[in-house]
Amino acid sequence: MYAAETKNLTKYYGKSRGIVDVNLRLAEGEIFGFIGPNGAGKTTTIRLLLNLIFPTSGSASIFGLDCVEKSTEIKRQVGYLPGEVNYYGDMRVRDLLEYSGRFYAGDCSRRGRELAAAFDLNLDARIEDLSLGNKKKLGIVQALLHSPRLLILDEPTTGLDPLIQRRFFDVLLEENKKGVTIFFSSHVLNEVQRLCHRVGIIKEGRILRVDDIETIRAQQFKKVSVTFKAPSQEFAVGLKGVRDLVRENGTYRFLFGGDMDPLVKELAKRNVENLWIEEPTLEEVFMHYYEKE
Amino acid sequence: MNVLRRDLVRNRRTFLIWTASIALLSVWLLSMYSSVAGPGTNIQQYAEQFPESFRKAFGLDRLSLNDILGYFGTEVHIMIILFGSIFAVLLSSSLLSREENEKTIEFLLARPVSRRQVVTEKLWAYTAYVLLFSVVVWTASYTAILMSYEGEFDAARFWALALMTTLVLLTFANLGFLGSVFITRNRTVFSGALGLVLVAYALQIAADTSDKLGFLKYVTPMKWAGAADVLTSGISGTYLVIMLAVNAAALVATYVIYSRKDILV
Repeated sequence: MYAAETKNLTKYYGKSRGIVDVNLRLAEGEIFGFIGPNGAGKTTTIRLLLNLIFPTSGSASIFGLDCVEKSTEIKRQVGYLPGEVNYYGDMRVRDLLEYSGRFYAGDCSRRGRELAAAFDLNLDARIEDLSLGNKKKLGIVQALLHSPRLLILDEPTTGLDPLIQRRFFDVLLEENKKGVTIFFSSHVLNEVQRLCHRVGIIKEGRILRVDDIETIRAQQFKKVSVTFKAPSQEFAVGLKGVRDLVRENGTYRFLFGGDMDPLVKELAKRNVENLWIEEPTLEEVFMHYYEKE
Repeated sequence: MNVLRRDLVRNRRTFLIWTASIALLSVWLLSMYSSVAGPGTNIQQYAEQFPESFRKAFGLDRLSLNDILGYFGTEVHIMIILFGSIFAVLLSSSLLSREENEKTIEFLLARPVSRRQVVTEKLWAYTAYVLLFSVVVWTASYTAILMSYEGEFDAARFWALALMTTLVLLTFANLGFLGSVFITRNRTVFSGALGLVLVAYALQIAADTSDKLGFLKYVTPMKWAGAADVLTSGISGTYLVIMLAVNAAALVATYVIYSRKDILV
Protein backbone atom coordinates (compact mmCIF):
# COMPACT_ATOMS: atom_id res chain seq x y z
CA MET A 1 0.00 0.00 0.00
CA TYR A 2 1.20 3.47 -0.85
CA ALA A 3 0.76 6.51 1.34
CA ALA A 4 -0.44 8.23 -1.80
CA GLU A 5 -0.79 7.07 -5.35
CA THR A 6 -2.07 8.70 -8.51
CA LYS A 7 -2.90 6.85 -11.70
CA ASN A 8 -2.98 8.90 -14.89
CA LEU A 9 -4.47 11.67 -12.84
CA THR A 10 -5.71 14.39 -15.18
CA LYS A 11 -7.49 17.64 -14.55
CA TYR A 12 -8.69 20.20 -17.03
CA TYR A 13 -10.41 23.39 -15.98
CA GLY A 14 -12.70 23.71 -18.95
CA LYS A 15 -10.19 23.77 -21.75
CA SER A 16 -7.25 24.97 -19.78
CA ARG A 17 -4.77 22.42 -18.59
CA GLY A 18 -4.37 21.60 -14.94
CA ILE A 19 -2.39 18.37 -14.90
CA VAL A 20 -2.10 15.56 -17.42
CA ASP A 21 -1.47 11.87 -16.72
CA VAL A 22 0.26 12.36 -13.42
CA ASN A 23 1.54 9.12 -11.94
CA LEU A 24 3.05 9.32 -8.50
CA ARG A 25 3.67 6.79 -5.78
CA LEU A 26 4.61 7.78 -2.28
CA ALA A 27 5.90 5.04 -0.05
CA GLU A 28 4.88 5.18 3.56
CA GLY A 29 7.41 7.04 5.65
CA GLU A 30 9.12 8.95 2.90
CA ILE A 31 9.55 12.65 2.41
CA PHE A 32 8.62 13.51 -1.12
CA GLY A 33 9.38 16.86 -2.66
CA PHE A 34 7.14 18.01 -5.46
CA ILE A 35 8.76 20.76 -7.41
CA GLY A 36 7.93 22.83 -10.39
CA PRO A 37 7.55 26.44 -11.42
CA ASN A 38 4.38 28.39 -10.69
CA GLY A 39 1.43 27.15 -12.71
CA ALA A 40 2.96 23.74 -13.30
CA GLY A 41 0.14 21.92 -11.52
CA LYS A 42 1.47 21.37 -8.01
CA THR A 43 -1.53 22.87 -6.26
CA THR A 44 -3.92 21.18 -8.68
CA THR A 45 -2.41 17.80 -7.77
CA ILE A 46 -2.73 18.56 -4.07
CA ARG A 47 -6.32 19.73 -4.42
CA LEU A 48 -7.17 16.54 -6.25
CA LEU A 49 -5.64 14.49 -3.45
CA LEU A 50 -7.82 16.39 -0.98
CA ASN A 51 -10.87 16.17 -3.25
CA LEU A 52 -11.35 19.91 -3.25
CA ILE A 53 -11.62 19.41 -7.00
CA PHE A 54 -12.60 16.39 -9.03
CA PRO A 55 -10.38 14.63 -11.57
CA THR A 56 -11.25 14.87 -15.25
CA SER A 57 -9.86 11.35 -15.61
CA GLY A 58 -7.58 9.01 -13.77
CA SER A 59 -7.65 8.43 -10.06
CA ALA A 60 -5.86 9.09 -6.82
CA SER A 61 -5.76 7.23 -3.54
CA ILE A 62 -4.33 7.82 -0.09
CA PHE A 63 -3.49 4.85 2.13
CA GLY A 64 -5.33 2.74 -0.40
CA LEU A 65 -8.54 4.76 -0.09
CA ASP A 66 -9.98 6.44 -3.15
CA CYS A 67 -9.67 10.22 -2.90
CA VAL A 68 -13.15 10.89 -4.23
CA GLU A 69 -15.08 8.05 -2.58
CA LYS A 70 -13.37 7.95 0.80
CA SER A 71 -12.41 11.56 1.21
CA THR A 72 -13.73 11.93 4.74
CA GLU A 73 -11.93 8.85 5.98
CA ILE A 74 -8.74 10.00 4.32
CA LYS A 75 -8.88 13.36 6.03
CA ARG A 76 -8.76 11.80 9.47
CA GLN A 77 -5.21 10.80 8.62
CA VAL A 78 -4.07 13.79 6.61
CA GLY A 79 -2.74 17.15 7.70
CA TYR A 80 -2.85 19.88 5.08
CA LEU A 81 -1.11 23.20 4.89
CA PRO A 82 -2.47 25.29 2.01
CA GLY A 83 -0.19 27.52 0.00
CA GLU A 84 -2.14 30.55 1.03
CA VAL A 85 -3.33 30.34 4.61
CA ASN A 86 -6.80 31.78 5.20
CA TYR A 87 -8.68 31.47 8.45
CA TYR A 88 -11.73 32.95 10.08
CA GLY A 89 -10.83 36.53 10.90
CA ASP A 90 -13.14 36.73 13.90
CA MET A 91 -11.35 33.92 15.72
CA ARG A 92 -8.36 33.91 17.97
CA VAL A 93 -5.54 31.43 17.43
CA ARG A 94 -6.83 29.33 20.32
CA ASP A 95 -10.36 29.27 18.87
CA LEU A 96 -9.15 28.03 15.52
CA LEU A 97 -7.11 25.24 17.05
CA GLU A 98 -10.05 24.23 19.24
CA TYR A 99 -12.40 24.35 16.28
CA SER A 100 -10.05 22.27 14.18
CA GLY A 101 -9.42 19.82 17.02
CA ARG A 102 -13.12 19.13 17.49
CA PHE A 103 -13.30 17.53 14.06
CA TYR A 104 -11.00 14.72 15.14
CA ALA A 105 -11.37 11.97 17.67
CA GLY A 106 -9.24 12.42 20.76
CA ASP A 107 -8.05 15.51 22.55
CA CYS A 108 -5.65 17.71 20.58
CA SER A 109 -5.45 20.60 23.01
CA ARG A 110 -2.19 19.60 24.65
CA ARG A 111 -0.45 19.01 21.37
CA GLY A 112 -1.83 22.32 20.17
CA ARG A 113 -0.23 24.13 23.10
CA GLU A 114 3.07 22.35 22.58
CA LEU A 115 3.19 23.10 18.90
CA ALA A 116 2.20 26.71 19.42
CA ALA A 117 4.99 27.05 21.93
CA ALA A 118 7.49 25.41 19.56
CA PHE A 119 6.60 27.92 16.86
CA ASP A 120 6.37 30.85 19.18
CA LEU A 121 2.75 31.45 18.39
CA ASN A 122 0.58 33.54 20.68
CA LEU A 123 -2.64 31.65 21.38
CA ASP A 124 -4.54 34.79 22.28
CA ALA A 125 -3.73 36.71 19.11
CA ARG A 126 -6.59 37.60 16.81
CA ILE A 127 -6.22 35.86 13.48
CA GLU A 128 -6.96 39.00 11.52
CA ASP A 129 -4.04 40.70 13.28
CA LEU A 130 -1.51 37.98 12.42
CA SER A 131 1.30 38.73 10.01
CA LEU A 132 1.74 36.54 6.97
CA GLY A 133 4.52 34.59 8.66
CA ASN A 134 2.50 34.05 11.81
CA LYS A 135 -0.49 32.92 9.80
CA LYS A 136 1.76 30.38 8.15
CA LYS A 137 2.93 29.20 11.54
CA LEU A 138 -0.66 28.76 12.63
CA GLY A 139 -1.22 26.82 9.42
CA ILE A 140 1.64 24.51 10.29
CA VAL A 141 0.39 23.96 13.84
CA GLN A 142 -3.08 23.30 12.51
CA ALA A 143 -1.77 20.76 9.99
CA LEU A 144 0.17 18.87 12.65
CA LEU A 145 -2.45 19.16 15.38
CA HIS A 146 -4.22 15.84 15.03
CA SER A 147 -1.03 13.81 14.50
CA PRO A 148 -1.74 12.87 10.88
CA ARG A 149 -0.05 9.95 9.11
CA LEU A 150 0.38 11.96 5.95
CA LEU A 151 1.29 15.61 5.73
CA ILE A 152 0.48 17.50 2.57
CA LEU A 153 2.22 20.83 2.51
CA ASP A 154 1.79 23.30 -0.31
CA GLU A 155 4.75 25.68 -0.51
CA PRO A 156 5.24 25.46 3.24
CA THR A 157 8.19 27.74 3.68
CA THR A 158 7.16 30.89 1.85
CA GLY A 159 6.80 33.68 4.37
CA LEU A 160 8.80 31.95 7.11
CA ASP A 161 11.99 33.51 8.38
CA PRO A 162 15.07 31.24 8.28
CA LEU A 163 15.00 30.54 11.99
CA ILE A 164 11.41 29.35 12.00
CA GLN A 165 12.01 27.53 8.74
CA ARG A 166 14.73 25.50 10.43
CA ARG A 167 12.53 24.74 13.39
CA PHE A 168 9.82 23.72 10.98
CA PHE A 169 12.16 21.32 9.18
CA ASP A 170 13.27 19.88 12.51
CA VAL A 171 9.66 19.23 13.44
CA LEU A 172 9.06 17.63 10.06
CA LEU A 173 12.07 15.36 10.47
CA GLU A 174 10.88 14.41 13.92
CA GLU A 175 7.43 13.56 12.59
CA ASN A 176 9.02 11.61 9.78
CA LYS A 177 10.99 9.57 12.29
CA LYS A 178 7.69 8.59 13.84
CA GLY A 179 6.68 7.23 10.45
CA VAL A 180 4.75 10.18 9.07
CA THR A 181 4.84 10.47 5.28
CA ILE A 182 5.43 13.98 4.01
CA PHE A 183 4.47 15.33 0.62
CA PHE A 184 5.50 18.85 0.01
CA SER A 185 5.56 21.15 -2.93
CA SER A 186 8.00 23.90 -3.61
CA HIS A 187 9.46 25.91 -6.40
CA VAL A 188 12.81 26.08 -4.67
CA LEU A 189 14.98 23.09 -5.42
CA ASN A 190 17.38 23.94 -2.64
CA GLU A 191 14.71 23.76 -0.01
CA VAL A 192 13.58 20.38 -1.22
CA GLN A 193 17.10 19.01 -1.31
CA ARG A 194 17.66 19.55 2.37
CA LEU A 195 14.73 17.49 3.43
CA CYS A 196 13.49 15.08 0.83
CA HIS A 197 14.28 11.50 0.07
CA ARG A 198 12.79 11.70 -3.38
CA VAL A 199 11.81 14.45 -5.71
CA GLY A 200 9.18 14.61 -8.42
CA ILE A 201 9.44 17.34 -10.99
CA ILE A 202 6.36 18.69 -12.69
CA LYS A 203 6.26 21.07 -15.59
CA GLU A 204 3.30 22.27 -17.60
CA GLY A 205 1.08 19.74 -15.92
CA ARG A 206 3.20 16.69 -16.62
CA ILE A 207 5.64 14.82 -14.42
CA LEU A 208 9.06 15.11 -16.00
CA ARG A 209 10.75 12.66 -13.72
CA VAL A 210 10.91 11.27 -10.25
CA ASP A 211 14.34 10.75 -8.76
CA ASP A 212 16.17 9.99 -5.58
CA ILE A 213 17.58 13.16 -4.19
CA GLU A 214 21.07 11.64 -4.46
CA THR A 215 20.67 11.20 -8.20
CA ILE A 216 19.58 14.75 -8.66
CA ARG A 217 22.33 16.06 -6.49
CA ALA A 218 24.97 14.07 -8.40
CA GLN A 219 23.72 15.32 -11.71
CA GLN A 220 23.25 18.85 -10.72
CA PHE A 221 24.84 21.70 -12.56
CA LYS A 222 26.60 24.67 -11.14
CA LYS A 223 26.35 28.06 -12.71
CA VAL A 224 29.84 29.43 -13.24
CA SER A 225 30.89 32.93 -14.23
CA VAL A 226 34.53 33.88 -14.45
CA THR A 227 36.47 37.01 -15.43
CA PHE A 228 40.17 36.98 -16.19
CA LYS A 229 42.61 39.79 -15.79
CA ALA A 230 43.88 39.30 -19.33
CA PRO A 231 40.63 39.67 -21.29
CA SER A 232 41.80 37.92 -24.43
CA GLN A 233 42.39 34.60 -22.75
CA GLU A 234 40.80 31.51 -24.24
CA PHE A 235 38.97 29.35 -21.78
CA ALA A 236 37.11 26.11 -21.31
CA VAL A 237 37.69 24.77 -24.76
CA GLY A 238 37.33 21.05 -24.51
CA LEU A 239 36.81 20.98 -20.76
CA LYS A 240 34.46 18.14 -19.87
CA GLY A 241 31.13 19.09 -18.32
CA VAL A 242 30.93 22.61 -19.71
CA ARG A 243 27.67 23.58 -21.34
CA ASP A 244 26.16 26.66 -22.90
CA LEU A 245 29.35 28.64 -22.79
CA VAL A 246 28.91 32.32 -23.60
CA ARG A 247 31.32 35.19 -23.45
CA GLU A 248 30.04 38.62 -22.57
CA ASN A 249 32.17 41.71 -21.96
CA GLY A 250 35.12 39.57 -20.98
CA THR A 251 33.09 37.36 -18.64
CA TYR A 252 32.61 33.71 -19.39
CA ARG A 253 29.37 32.14 -18.28
CA PHE A 254 28.53 28.47 -18.45
CA LEU A 255 26.83 25.60 -16.71
CA PHE A 256 29.20 23.08 -15.27
CA GLY A 257 28.14 19.51 -14.57
CA GLY A 258 31.39 17.61 -14.44
CA ASP A 259 34.14 16.93 -11.96
CA MET A 260 35.01 20.09 -10.08
CA ASP A 261 38.71 19.36 -9.72
CA PRO A 262 39.82 19.73 -13.38
CA LEU A 263 37.87 22.97 -13.59
CA VAL A 264 39.61 24.44 -10.59
CA LYS A 265 42.99 23.34 -11.95
CA GLU A 266 42.21 24.82 -15.34
CA LEU A 267 41.19 28.10 -13.70
CA ALA A 268 44.32 28.10 -11.58
CA LYS A 269 46.47 28.26 -14.70
CA ARG A 270 45.06 31.69 -15.46
CA ASN A 271 44.93 34.98 -13.71
CA VAL A 272 41.39 35.10 -12.30
CA GLU A 273 39.89 38.45 -11.46
CA ASN A 274 36.48 37.30 -10.33
CA LEU A 275 34.73 33.99 -9.94
CA TRP A 276 31.15 33.05 -9.13
CA ILE A 277 29.91 29.49 -8.65
CA GLU A 278 26.20 29.44 -7.98
CA GLU A 279 23.31 27.03 -7.71
CA PRO A 280 21.22 27.27 -10.81
CA THR A 281 17.62 28.30 -10.35
CA LEU A 282 15.02 25.69 -10.90
CA GLU A 283 14.17 27.28 -14.23
CA GLU A 284 17.74 26.81 -15.34
CA VAL A 285 17.74 23.22 -14.23
CA PHE A 286 14.69 22.67 -16.38
CA MET A 287 16.07 24.56 -19.33
CA HIS A 288 19.46 22.98 -19.48
CA TYR A 289 19.05 19.61 -18.01
CA TYR A 290 15.63 18.10 -18.25
CA GLU A 291 14.64 19.43 -21.60
CA LYS A 292 17.69 18.05 -23.28
CA GLU A 293 16.98 14.50 -22.33
CA MET B 1 -22.45 19.54 15.01
CA ASN B 2 -19.19 21.37 14.85
CA VAL B 3 -19.98 23.44 11.77
CA LEU B 4 -23.53 24.11 12.93
CA ARG B 5 -22.32 25.37 16.27
CA ARG B 6 -19.72 27.56 14.64
CA ASP B 7 -22.24 29.10 12.23
CA LEU B 8 -24.75 29.72 15.02
CA VAL B 9 -22.12 31.52 17.05
CA ARG B 10 -20.81 33.44 14.09
CA ASN B 11 -24.23 34.71 13.01
CA ARG B 12 -25.86 35.25 16.34
CA ARG B 13 -25.35 39.01 16.29
CA THR B 14 -26.94 39.33 12.84
CA PHE B 15 -29.81 37.17 14.04
CA LEU B 16 -30.33 39.19 17.20
CA ILE B 17 -30.27 42.54 15.43
CA TRP B 18 -32.72 41.51 12.72
CA THR B 19 -35.06 39.71 15.07
CA ALA B 20 -35.10 42.45 17.69
CA SER B 21 -35.61 45.20 15.08
CA ILE B 22 -38.48 43.51 13.30
CA ALA B 23 -40.16 42.37 16.52
CA LEU B 24 -39.96 45.85 18.03
CA LEU B 25 -41.18 47.48 14.85
CA SER B 26 -44.19 45.13 14.73
CA VAL B 27 -45.00 45.73 18.35
CA TRP B 28 -44.72 49.48 17.89
CA LEU B 29 -46.95 49.51 14.79
CA LEU B 30 -49.53 47.33 16.52
CA SER B 31 -49.53 49.45 19.63
CA MET B 32 -50.61 52.39 17.50
CA TYR B 33 -53.64 50.54 16.16
CA SER B 34 -56.27 52.06 18.40
CA SER B 35 -55.03 55.59 17.81
CA VAL B 36 -54.51 55.55 14.02
CA ALA B 37 -56.90 52.86 12.78
CA GLY B 38 -59.69 50.85 14.22
CA PRO B 39 -63.32 51.83 14.67
CA GLY B 40 -63.76 55.45 15.58
CA THR B 41 -61.07 56.64 13.19
CA ASN B 42 -61.72 57.52 9.60
CA ILE B 43 -58.70 55.78 8.15
CA GLN B 44 -60.83 53.19 6.34
CA GLN B 45 -62.74 55.88 4.42
CA TYR B 46 -59.46 57.50 3.68
CA ALA B 47 -58.04 54.22 2.35
CA GLU B 48 -61.06 53.73 0.16
CA GLN B 49 -60.20 56.86 -1.76
CA PHE B 50 -57.01 55.37 -3.11
CA PRO B 51 -57.03 54.07 -6.68
CA GLU B 52 -58.16 50.50 -7.02
CA SER B 53 -54.85 49.05 -8.17
CA PHE B 54 -53.13 50.69 -5.23
CA ARG B 55 -55.63 49.19 -2.84
CA LYS B 56 -55.21 45.79 -4.45
CA ALA B 57 -51.46 46.00 -4.13
CA PHE B 58 -51.76 46.44 -0.40
CA GLY B 59 -54.64 44.06 0.09
CA LEU B 60 -56.96 46.92 1.03
CA ASP B 61 -59.57 45.59 -1.36
CA ARG B 62 -60.08 42.57 0.83
CA LEU B 63 -58.96 43.69 4.27
CA SER B 64 -60.38 46.48 6.35
CA LEU B 65 -58.29 48.81 8.43
CA ASN B 66 -61.11 48.95 10.92
CA ASP B 67 -60.29 45.43 11.92
CA ILE B 68 -57.14 44.49 13.86
CA LEU B 69 -56.17 41.62 11.54
CA GLY B 70 -56.86 43.83 8.54
CA TYR B 71 -54.57 46.44 10.01
CA PHE B 72 -51.96 43.80 10.81
CA GLY B 73 -52.24 42.27 7.33
CA THR B 74 -51.88 45.52 5.43
CA GLU B 75 -49.51 47.50 7.62
CA VAL B 76 -47.41 45.08 9.66
CA HIS B 77 -47.30 41.76 7.87
CA ILE B 78 -45.79 43.16 4.72
CA MET B 79 -42.89 44.43 6.74
CA ILE B 80 -42.41 41.12 8.51
CA ILE B 81 -42.44 39.10 5.32
CA LEU B 82 -40.30 41.55 3.34
CA PHE B 83 -37.59 42.13 5.93
CA GLY B 84 -37.88 38.58 7.19
CA SER B 85 -37.23 37.24 3.69
CA ILE B 86 -34.28 39.55 3.22
CA PHE B 87 -32.87 38.37 6.53
CA ALA B 88 -33.47 34.74 5.62
CA VAL B 89 -31.83 35.01 2.19
CA LEU B 90 -28.89 37.08 3.38
CA LEU B 91 -28.24 34.57 6.14
CA SER B 92 -28.62 31.39 4.13
CA SER B 93 -26.70 32.65 1.13
CA SER B 94 -23.78 33.78 3.25
CA LEU B 95 -23.06 30.48 4.94
CA LEU B 96 -21.43 28.60 2.08
CA SER B 97 -20.36 31.56 -0.01
CA ARG B 98 -18.53 33.24 2.82
CA GLU B 99 -16.36 30.17 3.34
CA GLU B 100 -15.37 30.32 -0.30
CA ASN B 101 -15.08 34.05 -0.47
CA GLU B 102 -12.80 34.18 2.54
CA LYS B 103 -11.10 31.00 1.36
CA THR B 104 -11.70 29.24 4.65
CA ILE B 105 -13.42 26.44 2.77
CA GLU B 106 -10.00 24.98 2.05
CA PHE B 107 -9.51 24.64 5.78
CA LEU B 108 -12.99 23.29 6.42
CA LEU B 109 -12.97 20.66 3.68
CA ALA B 110 -9.56 19.40 4.77
CA ARG B 111 -11.21 18.33 8.04
CA PRO B 112 -12.81 14.89 8.18
CA VAL B 113 -16.24 16.20 7.31
CA SER B 114 -18.09 15.37 4.11
CA ARG B 115 -19.53 18.06 1.92
CA ARG B 116 -22.95 16.61 2.52
CA GLN B 117 -22.40 17.05 6.23
CA VAL B 118 -21.26 20.65 5.75
CA VAL B 119 -24.38 21.42 3.71
CA THR B 120 -26.62 19.73 6.28
CA GLU B 121 -25.15 21.61 9.22
CA LYS B 122 -25.35 24.95 7.44
CA LEU B 123 -28.89 24.14 6.43
CA TRP B 124 -29.76 23.59 10.07
CA ALA B 125 -27.99 26.76 11.11
CA TYR B 126 -30.12 29.06 8.97
CA THR B 127 -33.28 27.00 9.45
CA ALA B 128 -32.88 27.31 13.21
CA TYR B 129 -32.39 31.06 13.02
CA VAL B 130 -35.25 31.62 10.59
CA LEU B 131 -37.57 29.57 12.80
CA LEU B 132 -36.43 31.42 15.90
CA PHE B 133 -36.92 34.71 14.10
CA SER B 134 -40.49 33.71 13.27
CA VAL B 135 -41.27 32.46 16.75
CA VAL B 136 -40.05 35.69 18.33
CA VAL B 137 -41.62 38.08 15.81
CA TRP B 138 -45.01 36.35 15.71
CA THR B 139 -45.23 35.80 19.43
CA ALA B 140 -44.35 39.45 19.98
CA SER B 141 -46.99 40.52 17.45
CA TYR B 142 -49.60 38.30 19.02
CA THR B 143 -48.85 39.66 22.45
CA ALA B 144 -49.01 43.21 21.13
CA ILE B 145 -52.42 42.56 19.59
CA LEU B 146 -53.73 41.12 22.84
CA MET B 147 -52.48 44.14 24.71
CA SER B 148 -53.63 46.90 22.39
CA TYR B 149 -56.89 45.41 21.13
CA GLU B 150 -59.80 44.56 23.32
CA GLY B 151 -62.17 43.07 20.77
CA GLU B 152 -62.47 39.62 19.28
CA PHE B 153 -60.30 38.41 16.45
CA ASP B 154 -59.71 35.17 14.63
CA ALA B 155 -56.50 33.87 16.23
CA ALA B 156 -56.53 30.77 14.01
CA ARG B 157 -56.25 32.98 10.91
CA PHE B 158 -53.45 34.92 12.53
CA TRP B 159 -51.47 31.74 13.20
CA ALA B 160 -52.27 30.41 9.75
CA LEU B 161 -50.64 33.52 8.36
CA ALA B 162 -47.72 33.03 10.73
CA LEU B 163 -47.25 29.49 9.49
CA MET B 164 -47.42 30.39 5.81
CA THR B 165 -45.09 33.35 6.30
CA THR B 166 -42.56 31.18 8.10
CA LEU B 167 -42.69 28.63 5.30
CA VAL B 168 -42.16 31.39 2.75
CA LEU B 169 -39.17 32.66 4.72
CA LEU B 170 -37.72 29.16 4.69
CA THR B 171 -38.39 28.89 0.97
CA PHE B 172 -36.48 32.10 0.36
CA ALA B 173 -33.71 30.84 2.59
CA ASN B 174 -33.47 27.58 0.67
CA LEU B 175 -33.42 29.41 -2.66
CA GLY B 176 -30.70 31.73 -1.40
CA PHE B 177 -28.74 28.74 -0.18
CA LEU B 178 -28.93 27.13 -3.59
CA GLY B 179 -27.92 30.38 -5.26
CA SER B 180 -24.86 30.68 -3.07
CA VAL B 181 -23.52 27.42 -4.49
CA PHE B 182 -23.08 29.25 -7.78
CA ILE B 183 -22.43 32.80 -6.70
CA THR B 184 -19.72 33.19 -4.13
CA ARG B 185 -18.46 36.74 -4.43
CA ASN B 186 -19.60 38.75 -1.42
CA ARG B 187 -21.04 41.74 -3.15
CA THR B 188 -22.76 39.70 -5.81
CA VAL B 189 -24.28 37.45 -3.17
CA PHE B 190 -25.63 40.49 -1.34
CA SER B 191 -27.26 42.08 -4.38
CA GLY B 192 -28.52 38.71 -5.56
CA ALA B 193 -30.19 38.09 -2.22
CA LEU B 194 -31.81 41.51 -2.13
CA GLY B 195 -32.81 41.20 -5.77
CA LEU B 196 -34.49 37.84 -5.25
CA VAL B 197 -36.76 39.16 -2.50
CA LEU B 198 -37.60 42.46 -4.19
CA VAL B 199 -38.37 40.82 -7.51
CA ALA B 200 -40.61 38.34 -5.69
CA TYR B 201 -42.40 41.26 -4.05
CA ALA B 202 -42.82 43.07 -7.37
CA LEU B 203 -44.26 39.89 -8.88
CA GLN B 204 -46.73 39.61 -6.03
CA ILE B 205 -47.96 43.14 -6.66
CA ALA B 206 -48.24 42.34 -10.34
CA ALA B 207 -50.23 39.18 -9.57
CA ASP B 208 -52.54 41.08 -7.24
CA THR B 209 -53.21 44.08 -9.44
CA SER B 210 -53.36 42.68 -12.94
CA ASP B 211 -55.75 39.98 -14.09
CA LYS B 212 -53.51 39.11 -17.00
CA LEU B 213 -50.56 38.52 -14.70
CA GLY B 214 -52.62 36.49 -12.26
CA PHE B 215 -50.63 33.35 -13.10
CA LEU B 216 -47.67 34.91 -11.32
CA LYS B 217 -49.22 33.87 -8.05
CA TYR B 218 -47.78 30.43 -8.67
CA VAL B 219 -44.33 31.87 -9.29
CA THR B 220 -43.63 34.23 -6.43
CA PRO B 221 -43.29 32.84 -2.90
CA MET B 222 -44.36 36.21 -1.53
CA LYS B 223 -47.88 35.59 -2.77
CA TRP B 224 -48.11 32.21 -1.02
CA ALA B 225 -48.23 34.01 2.29
CA GLY B 226 -50.16 37.07 1.06
CA ALA B 227 -51.94 38.51 4.07
CA ALA B 228 -55.18 39.24 2.23
CA ASP B 229 -55.28 35.69 0.88
CA VAL B 230 -54.55 33.84 4.09
CA LEU B 231 -56.61 36.11 6.36
CA THR B 232 -59.68 35.89 4.13
CA SER B 233 -59.53 32.34 2.80
CA GLY B 234 -57.08 30.43 4.99
CA ILE B 235 -54.18 28.23 3.94
CA SER B 236 -54.16 27.18 0.32
CA GLY B 237 -53.32 23.56 -0.37
CA THR B 238 -52.10 24.46 -3.85
CA TYR B 239 -49.54 26.87 -2.49
CA LEU B 240 -48.41 24.34 0.08
CA VAL B 241 -47.81 21.75 -2.63
CA ILE B 242 -45.92 24.21 -4.83
CA MET B 243 -43.86 25.33 -1.87
CA LEU B 244 -43.02 21.77 -0.93
CA ALA B 245 -41.93 21.03 -4.48
CA VAL B 246 -39.82 24.18 -4.77
CA ASN B 247 -38.08 23.53 -1.48
CA ALA B 248 -37.44 19.88 -2.20
CA ALA B 249 -36.01 20.74 -5.62
CA ALA B 250 -33.83 23.52 -4.21
CA LEU B 251 -32.41 21.34 -1.47
CA VAL B 252 -31.78 18.35 -3.70
CA ALA B 253 -30.06 20.61 -6.22
CA THR B 254 -27.95 22.18 -3.48
CA TYR B 255 -26.75 18.80 -2.20
CA VAL B 256 -26.10 17.35 -5.64
CA ILE B 257 -24.31 20.37 -7.05
CA TYR B 258 -22.28 21.16 -3.98
CA SER B 259 -21.13 17.56 -3.63
CA ARG B 260 -19.69 17.62 -7.14
CA LYS B 261 -18.45 21.15 -7.28
CA ASP B 262 -14.80 22.03 -7.82
CA ILE B 263 -13.76 24.27 -4.95
CA LEU B 264 -11.37 26.78 -6.47
CA VAL B 265 -10.27 29.45 -4.08
